[in-house]
Amino acid sequence: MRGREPVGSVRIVTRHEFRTAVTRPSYLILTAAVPVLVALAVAGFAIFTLVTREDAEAETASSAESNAQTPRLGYVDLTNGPALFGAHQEQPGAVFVPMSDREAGIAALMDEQIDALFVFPPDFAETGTVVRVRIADDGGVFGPDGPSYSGTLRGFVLSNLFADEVPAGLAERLQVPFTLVVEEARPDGAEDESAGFDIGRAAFFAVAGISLLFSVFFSSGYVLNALVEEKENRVMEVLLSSVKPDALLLGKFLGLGAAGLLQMAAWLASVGVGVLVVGRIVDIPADFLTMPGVGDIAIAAGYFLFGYALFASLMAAVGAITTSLREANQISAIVIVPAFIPVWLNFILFTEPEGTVARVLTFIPVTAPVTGLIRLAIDAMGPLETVAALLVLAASASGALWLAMRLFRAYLLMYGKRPTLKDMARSIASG
Amino acid sequence: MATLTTSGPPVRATGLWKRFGALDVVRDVSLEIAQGEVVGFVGPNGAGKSTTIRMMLDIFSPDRGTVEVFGAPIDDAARRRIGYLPEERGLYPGLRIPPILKYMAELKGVPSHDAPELADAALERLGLTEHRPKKVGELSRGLRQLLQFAATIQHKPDFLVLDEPFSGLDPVNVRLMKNTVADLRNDGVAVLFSTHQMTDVEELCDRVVMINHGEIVLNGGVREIRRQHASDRLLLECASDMPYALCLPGVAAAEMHGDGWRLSLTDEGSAEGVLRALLDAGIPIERFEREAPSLEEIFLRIVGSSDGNGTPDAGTRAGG
Repeated sequence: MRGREPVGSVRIVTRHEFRTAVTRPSYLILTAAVPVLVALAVAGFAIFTLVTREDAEAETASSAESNAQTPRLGYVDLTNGPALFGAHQEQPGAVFVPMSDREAGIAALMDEQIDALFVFPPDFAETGTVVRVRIADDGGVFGPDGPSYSGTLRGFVLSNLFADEVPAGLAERLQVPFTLVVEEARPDGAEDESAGFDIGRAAFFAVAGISLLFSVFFSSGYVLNALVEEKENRVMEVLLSSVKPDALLLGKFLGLGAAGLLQMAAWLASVGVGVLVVGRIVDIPADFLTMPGVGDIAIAAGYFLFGYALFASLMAAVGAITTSLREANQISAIVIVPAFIPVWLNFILFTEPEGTVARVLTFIPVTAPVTGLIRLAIDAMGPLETVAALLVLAASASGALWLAMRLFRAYLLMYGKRPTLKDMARSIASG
Repeated sequence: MATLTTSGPPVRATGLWKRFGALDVVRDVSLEIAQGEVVGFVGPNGAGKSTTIRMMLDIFSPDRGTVEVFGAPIDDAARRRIGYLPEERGLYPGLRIPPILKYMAELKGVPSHDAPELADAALERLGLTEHRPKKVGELSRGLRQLLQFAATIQHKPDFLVLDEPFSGLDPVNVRLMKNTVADLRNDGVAVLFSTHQMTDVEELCDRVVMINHGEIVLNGGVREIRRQHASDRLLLECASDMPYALCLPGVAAAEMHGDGWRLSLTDEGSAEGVLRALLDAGIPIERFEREAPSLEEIFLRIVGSSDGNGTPDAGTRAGG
């Protein structure tokens, strides 16, 4: 029919494939499944948190009622020489009450005038031993004596022994001598603003890696299923009389890829919302919830798109040479399984992220996407290696697409018999 | 139908050659179809019909030879002027009819907003309007076939390729499709009609092209071919018995045939001589004709003379 403006075949196929995919009940159910599961998990978590928080508050209230005042910890100083523990009796969270002797302390403990009783024996200076006296048959460690008060006791001892010996301002260091913080220095002397392990960045790349694995399963699987179904339904020849094979394949790539990515986006968004909600509930530090940088997003997007293109192309090649959905699914394992090798070898990647195995897997096309994202998550890939790996992956994806198109053209209308490797080699060579 | 603006015939294939593996499936096939012409494309299974069609539609690239559609190598614009109903056909069983027809129409260049109107017209033409809301999988085989035909013609193609279009249809729907094809021909559409049913070719086609072992072995008008293959026998029916038929000049043998006689001529005999002798003898003639073979008989004769049965499809591809 003439007089009509030509419409891009690729766009038409893309739109059709996208619409057909996203309106399938299986797609809708699968897409909704993750948000529903996340919602249920978050709701369950919220309920659990609410219940446990109420229990804790009830326990705290009960404890406050039974102990209307700060815990009183009795102590008997039997050390030789001048008394060691005559001062600093008010400690954070407790008050130390001197007892004249052990018997008086036990009597006070039994009368619940004090919450715990500690005895400093005569040889304390030599041995460091402190005896805590408890009432027999009291129900164990967490019986009426309650907590161990070891931290409070430590503060009491240190204060009495050394507080007057150290300069003002350093007494706190008796309690907490140091807090270890790790910083990294670059060999070239440049300052590293992102020194240290960036948990937010690690989480971002880890989620991207998991998403990529899912996309291997789903998005590229849609391409495989669509091709084989059209072969089985004998629709293919009708389509090929209207559109060139390359345009048809490209349209399927884009349409089904978009459907897969939409599904992935829905999943990631639901997980993101879930994390935010959980963060509100348990007060996750803000650093965990910050947005990744533009560079990291670009790298993840590169791995994602090239990875999808690679696996979808390989799936298309499988779809082109197989004759039934069952056969196609069996053969597709050859493509899918290698994608999981980095997951199986994760212990090597985590222990030796810059070792030979990790580097080799980074540059093998089918293992590159997941390996790269894992190594990026643990900050074990430099910029040059990242760019090189992405270039290799992009080239591999292009090669796989070229291969798929050759096989697609050669075997799309073949029904009933799978070509031999020799046939395929000849078809690839001849185009 | 809009006025055609072609600069050449709807299709002109020249010297097509295609090899699969070690077998030349199509060998030096040339074929041209004029506007408004219906050409029957016949041949045994595996003769190369489907492969030739696929090359003409640019689904397969020929190893040698050229294809021109409307005077130029086939491109997207030319592809949109073609309607193709392949032998190996199907539609998406899980989809409803309107989106399928819309998709097929859009692939043929129909603007999205025009597609529903064209689809409805095609459905109405083929009596499928009541099935419009259904999914393809809910239709019977025959209705699915009609639906595919609707998808093939809805965009008003100028060149129509039908590969075994009537297989699986009941006589009513066969008649409906034949009438539609005839209407399209009257509108100037060129039709290439591939089939095994010689009676359909005799009924629908202006010309017949026979292919065997990848080569065209017969190409001409249906009546002309039948005349060319006419035998040296006459069919005769008279109002009275003809005990002296053998005595007619130029007749070598006579045998009862239906309600009359089949006369075999001698080398010197002619139909005119026999007719003149009958008239001179005052025999009341009810029927007198040269026995012309049917296309099926010609087909069997040609195929049989080459290999008896034709050859099965050597490749793994669908059709021939």
